Parts: sequence; C-alpha cells; structure tokens
Amino acid sequence: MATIDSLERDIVSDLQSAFDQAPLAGHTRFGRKSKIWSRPAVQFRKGLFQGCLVDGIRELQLDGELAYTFPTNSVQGGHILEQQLEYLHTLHLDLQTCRRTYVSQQSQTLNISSTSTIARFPPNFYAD
Amino acid sequence: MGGFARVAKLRNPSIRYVIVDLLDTIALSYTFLRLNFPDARFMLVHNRAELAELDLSADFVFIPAHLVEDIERTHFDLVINSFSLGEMPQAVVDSYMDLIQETLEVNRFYSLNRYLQHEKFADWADESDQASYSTPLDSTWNLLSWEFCPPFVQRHLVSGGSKWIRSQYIGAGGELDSTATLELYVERRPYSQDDPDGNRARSDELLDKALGFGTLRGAKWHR
Repeated sequence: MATIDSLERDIVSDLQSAFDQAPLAGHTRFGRKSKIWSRPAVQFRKGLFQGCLVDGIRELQLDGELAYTFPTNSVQGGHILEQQLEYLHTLHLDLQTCRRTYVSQQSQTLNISSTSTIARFPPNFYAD
Repeated sequence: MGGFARVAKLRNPSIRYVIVDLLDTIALSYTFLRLNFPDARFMLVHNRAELAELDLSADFVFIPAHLVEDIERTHFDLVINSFSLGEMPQAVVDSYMDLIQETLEVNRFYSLNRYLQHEKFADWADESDQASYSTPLDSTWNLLSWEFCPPFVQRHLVSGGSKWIRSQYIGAGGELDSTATLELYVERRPYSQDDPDGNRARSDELLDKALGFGTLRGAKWHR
C-alpha cells in the first residue's frame, strides 16, 4: 500500500498532467454547463487545483476506517462536507462524532477560504 | 464529487465505476476516491489515445467531458446522472442523452434532475441557454420509477438552509419551487419491443398525474 505522501504526490502529478493536456478555453459539445461554469477557465482551474491539493486534505478517523473528507477549502467545501455527513450517516457511523468534526472543520473552511488560500496564490496567478 | 461512488464501491466492491465529468470536478472526485481506496486500480484518461485504450477492468475510470465524444460503444449496466443534466444548455443535454441512448449500450438509466420548476425562481439572466427538459428519453425504455420531488430530496434541501422550502412543498400556497425535481429510473428493452401505443397511454397517465399537482402554469412547466 502506498504511503499517503507518495499517493498524494502521484495524484497531483496525474491531475496536473490531465490539466496540461486539456483545452484551456472552449469546450466540446459535452463540456459546457450553464452560467456558473462560464467563468474564465484558467482562473477556475488553477484556483480549484491549488486550493484542493496544495492546501491539504482533511481526514476523519471514524469507526476504524480512515475516511477522507472532501477538500475543505474548495469552492464548495462547506456544502460538500455536508454531503459527506449524509454518506457517513448512510454507512451507519457515529453521527454525533461526525457532527462535531463537521462543525470544527467548517470553521476551518471559513478561515481558509477567506484568507490563506487566496494568500497562497502567487501575484501573477490570474494573469493568464 | 465521488461520494456516491465511494458508497457504491463500499457496498459492492466488485463494481467498476466510470465517472464522466468536467475536469475541474474530476480533480475533486479523483483525489477523494484515490485517497479513500488507496489499493484500488484507477485510470484517469488524459487524451484521446488513452481513451482508445480504455481499461474498464479498473475499479474507477475518469473521463473528462471534453474527451467523451470520442468514446466508442461500450456496455454499462447503469448510468446515473444527478443534479447535472438540468444545469446544462439543451444542446449539451441532447448530446449526453445521445451518448447514453445511442453510442453506449446501457441497461438502466437513473436521473435525478430539476423538473417542473417555477419560472419565478429562475436565477439566470439568459434562460435561452438553459435546458428545457433534462431527460429526453427515446421510446424503448421501460419505466421502473417516476417520482416527483422524492422525500429524501426535500429533506436534504430543507436541511440545506432554505427556510421557505418546506412551506413551498406542503403549505397552503403549494407553489412549485426552484428545488422541484424528478427521480426517474428506466430500463432498456429491445428495439423490437417498441410499443408506441403503450408509451402514449403511459404518457397520458403521467400527464394526468402531473396536472393533478394543480399549480402548473406557463409554457415551461416541464422544466
């Protein structure tokens, strides 16, 4: 089994390669959603990519299973954590434990999304 | 974002799961699932050459949306789409439905998408860019389930913070709201068993059911 560090490096590498080979602008007939997706593709991708992967991924230790949450500082972090709670509930895990973790992590989400994630972007981040 | 795939895989480890999505979203689901299943086999399709060598024996396969038009005829037991087709322009919806109904060989299709949403809740400036109908099915499906606003969706959305949703569903006003959805589950039957008369009767039955809601108005009621 790969260590978490090496696994994360492999994930970053694989995704970076996929982004490098994807078109930066314009879409095929399958690639377009409505207005929310019409923001500049480069800005969105870089923000998401850096926000998700560089800033780290939280983890939950529940019922003996290491279950990663979604990235807490992604564009939809809070909402996604809420979804994750539902899935955990589906698996009959301890909801009280989940709830405390969720509240704690949601606080982190607010802090991260309002400060550190943006602060980590280099000055020319949105230039292209 | 991979959550449903995770649950599905945990409940049935033998399944093979293919995710087609925008690459921006795949970044989330791919990361999430690889970290949750470190010993599983993954394939992230980077380009058309890799798509041509698609390894469907992998536990999870990720196909970016900009590549999917080149996918060849492939068998899938089930295709799932939730809260996605309804967000697309109609031309994109039609392309995905062509993929599901013509290009791929699909046994069953499950959809959970917006339906019958009232115009006054529209939050887009140019509605000409929005889907008018998110699941245009051809005539050779057997309908297994058709449920308007299933209870689990109502509970989820009410708990999601929209205070006025519950009254919109069950209050005296009873107007349809921006969260109105249709849960649809269909099974493919052979084209030789096409039954236009039966389809028409079933369609009339569903229309009567829809009209029974009593709050439909405007030409866009089918959204």
